[in-house]
Amino acid sequence: MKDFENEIRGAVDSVTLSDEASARIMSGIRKKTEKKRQAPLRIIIPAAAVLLAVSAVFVGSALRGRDLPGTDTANTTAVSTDDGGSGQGSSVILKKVAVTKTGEKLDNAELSAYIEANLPSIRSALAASGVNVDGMRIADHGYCHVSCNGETAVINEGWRDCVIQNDKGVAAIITFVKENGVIYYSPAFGAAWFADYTEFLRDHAGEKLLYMYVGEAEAVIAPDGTYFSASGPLDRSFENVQPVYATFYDEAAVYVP
Amino acid sequence: MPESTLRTDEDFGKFYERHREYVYRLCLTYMKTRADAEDCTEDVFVRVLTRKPAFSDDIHARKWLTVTACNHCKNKLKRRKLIETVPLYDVPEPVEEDTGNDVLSAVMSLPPRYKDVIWMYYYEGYSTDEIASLLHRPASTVRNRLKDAREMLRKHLED
Repeated sequence: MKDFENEIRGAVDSVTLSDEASARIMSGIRKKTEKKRQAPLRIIIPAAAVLLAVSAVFVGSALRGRDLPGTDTANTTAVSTDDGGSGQGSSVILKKVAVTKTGEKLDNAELSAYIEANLPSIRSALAASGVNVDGMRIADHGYCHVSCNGETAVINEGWRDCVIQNDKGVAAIITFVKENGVIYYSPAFGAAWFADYTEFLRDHAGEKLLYMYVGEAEAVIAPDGTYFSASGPLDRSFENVQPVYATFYDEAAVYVP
Repeated sequence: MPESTLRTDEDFGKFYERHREYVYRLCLTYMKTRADAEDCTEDVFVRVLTRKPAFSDDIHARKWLTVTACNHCKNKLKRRKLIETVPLYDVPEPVEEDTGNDVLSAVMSLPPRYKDVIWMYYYEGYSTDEIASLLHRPASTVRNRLKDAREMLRKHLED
């Protein structure tokens, strides 16, 4: 065992950083920090499509003039979560929350087909909204929409956020909704644009925010300690849950009270 | 000059020289290609300049860099995994680094959540309790992950 462990220890010794690479990195650091000093707030949404809401309803009449899907569809399922164990470090404490799934599920294949068939009109709509569509690419993986008022979470699997990227990075997020078998989209998600989620969370420390990062099976903890899973009942212990907002703080999980 | 005050370019330059290789090695084990490792290394040091953390000593600085680099790389990998784009042109996949070192290749092949405990335990010499504190995980989780990681490494090397 000791020999094996010594092998592990010695493994990285072979990795070196050349002087040329080091100079390249330093040059990159200077350019980036120079840009940060000079540039005004960038209106770029980070590549991780994250949903941020402080109230229950997000997308308004941008949805091609149709009303938003209601929450009392035939597919509604109410799932209760159990309280988990207590947190550690930054004292994230789990709360009991009711999770409701609604809407018609929009799967990746039909979403991709829809995007491909409607790409020109999506580009036009984005350009009309002032989004730079140069070199535009659309992600064909999206995320579930979640709305929460702190007591109840409504997970809309029929609503998918897709990231729009151009040559400079993430330019916008659009929302796709499936209702009565028909797919609709909103040109841009209605949340405020901000340059950096880290800065946003820092600026809003102390506010009751709901910060969600919902993948297909991932559980998340909101800054206020509310615990969600988009996949159904929460059956994992707290210690296996990644406090998602921690990834936007460099040092450790930070509790935004 | 204490590292808690990187006031001048010269201070930062010395800080960078002292820690660049370490941060680069850490990033390479996550990102697997030199280009991506260089990008991540750059980003970590940009954060040093923009966040201006106050380091009480060298040990504190190293801890900060370790956690920052791990989180940054994992975040980047997660974004990359979850966003697949409809390409307008074919872009060749970057070639993973051929380290010529089986054990290092095995470490690089570990899932991200095992890499940080391996790195902190074997390359930084932190105890499992210290790692638990840095990662805000229970010590039992850290011990289990170390055990699982060692097992995965062993299996990878036997294959």
